[in-house]
Amino acid sequence: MFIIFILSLIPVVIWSFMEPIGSRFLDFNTAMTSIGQILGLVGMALFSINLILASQYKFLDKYFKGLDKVYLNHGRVGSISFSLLLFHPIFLVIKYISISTYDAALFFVPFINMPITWGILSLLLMIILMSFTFYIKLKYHIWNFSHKFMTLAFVIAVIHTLFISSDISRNNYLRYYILTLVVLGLFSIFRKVYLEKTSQNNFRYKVKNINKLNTDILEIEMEPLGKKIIFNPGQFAFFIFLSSGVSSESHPFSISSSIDDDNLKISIKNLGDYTSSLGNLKQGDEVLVDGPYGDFSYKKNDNKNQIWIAGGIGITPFFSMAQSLENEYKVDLYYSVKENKEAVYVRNFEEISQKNTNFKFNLWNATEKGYINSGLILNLSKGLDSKDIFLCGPPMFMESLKNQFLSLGVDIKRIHYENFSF
Amino acid sequence: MKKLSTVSLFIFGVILTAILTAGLVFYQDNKSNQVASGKTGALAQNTINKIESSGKSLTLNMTEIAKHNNRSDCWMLINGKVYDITSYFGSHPGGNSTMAPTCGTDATSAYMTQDPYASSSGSRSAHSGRAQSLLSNYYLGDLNQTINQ
Repeated sequence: MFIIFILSLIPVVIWSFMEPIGSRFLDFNTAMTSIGQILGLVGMALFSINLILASQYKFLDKYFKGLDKVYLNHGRVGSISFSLLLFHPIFLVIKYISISTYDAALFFVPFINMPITWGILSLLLMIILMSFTFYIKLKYHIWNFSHKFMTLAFVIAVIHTLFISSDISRNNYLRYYILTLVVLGLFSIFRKVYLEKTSQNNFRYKVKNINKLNTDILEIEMEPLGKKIIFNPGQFAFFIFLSSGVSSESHPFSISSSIDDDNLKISIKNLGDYTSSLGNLKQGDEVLVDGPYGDFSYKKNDNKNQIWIAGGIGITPFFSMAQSLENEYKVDLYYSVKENKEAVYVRNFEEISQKNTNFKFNLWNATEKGYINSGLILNLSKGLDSKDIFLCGPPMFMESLKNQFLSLGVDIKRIHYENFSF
Repeated sequence: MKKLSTVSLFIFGVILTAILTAGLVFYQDNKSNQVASGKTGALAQNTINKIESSGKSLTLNMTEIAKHNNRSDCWMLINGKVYDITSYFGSHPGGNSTMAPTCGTDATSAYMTQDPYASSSGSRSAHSGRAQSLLSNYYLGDLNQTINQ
């Protein structure tokens, strides 16, 4: 996040050294115009950075400690950039208002001045696409498709940036800086699309078994067709199922199999159109796997004393982790469900805890015992001192528990969580 | 973050609607307020007042225009009309450096080609209609017109 901040402020620094800084804030109108220009510059820098954040780079996964956090930041940067770009014309129009509201209104009318028109069109497209993100709920795959048009909005915004006579057209440093970010952003997006289309980066698997674990949860077992994916227990990957009954979109799922298994397993809860269509999968269907991603792994932690808390389908990374748990780790797992029949892999967890006395398994029926909370865990696990806490479950569940632990004085660095529903 | 976007979008919507309504719906009212041709520009009024209060008569000829040849005092002749664009410095989309060289001169060709040195006449486009209406706000008088006769 810090790097993003610096990268987006560099254009302001270049701008502030440009001629004629002395007269930039002389009177109200020029000051407003200057602010408008800065908003545009920073907004464009952030927009470019956001394309890079959306490109599923492995190095970002490492840098942000999990791709889920990358997407979280993508959302933040997107909102900030969008807001800055909305205020960009508002500040620029102020000088026209002082002349007449008619001139000001004309500023917002497209097809009078081409460079401004590009800006208007880009902003309009952004407003439409952002309302699909925030206000108009679309089915995920439709939204996902719509959001790809952000790249178009970006390209139009770049045309606007390059053709409008402004500081960018006059200062080479500023021009090259913005152009570099733009090129990096576009390169990243096209690289992502290229890799998706050519599936060069993928591991190839085929569906071996489909098990219904309960009414809602499907376990898909896959057999490698070539090299198998190497991952840390708790990590996730993106899966594309090449099957007639399933759309060929890429979706992230936690890996639930052990790292020692040759086959790969994922356990999927029926949460929508796409996940319910996975019931149409047939044995032998090909699967493209891109990964692994994520930083959610007990092994990455030096602290061997750990508490794992799963809510519902958030159990999947813990299942992988429990199967390959090394002996020197001491782990209490709490698995919160609404009713017992919702719980999966219970027998497997019980077996692991019988073999390994350092692994304690607690199935928590929230309907009978009430919501699990930090106080209960503090008592049941006999203290939280020097323990690392791993959370995986619905966003509200994790947010609530995280805050409870923070208020008990647990260091935020000791709380690990994954927003698997990004 | 949804909040930030919502608030920004709301403010944007309100301001945009206000400006468009004020500007376009009341277009007729505005039109009558527009600076009529031959009438001094609103933003040049200070200069006019100064000349008038000096009590001396002043003719807007090339000699006079040439005296105002820098950023802090910039007159120019465009299409036979004299403009004092000093207060426009800092607002020009093309930057100050494109206007400065033509202070105190006949800037007609520079204005028509958007090129301060008018070296590549015709290769660039003329200013927009909006620029034209902006310019009228800086209008002092016609060439060789005398103020304070």
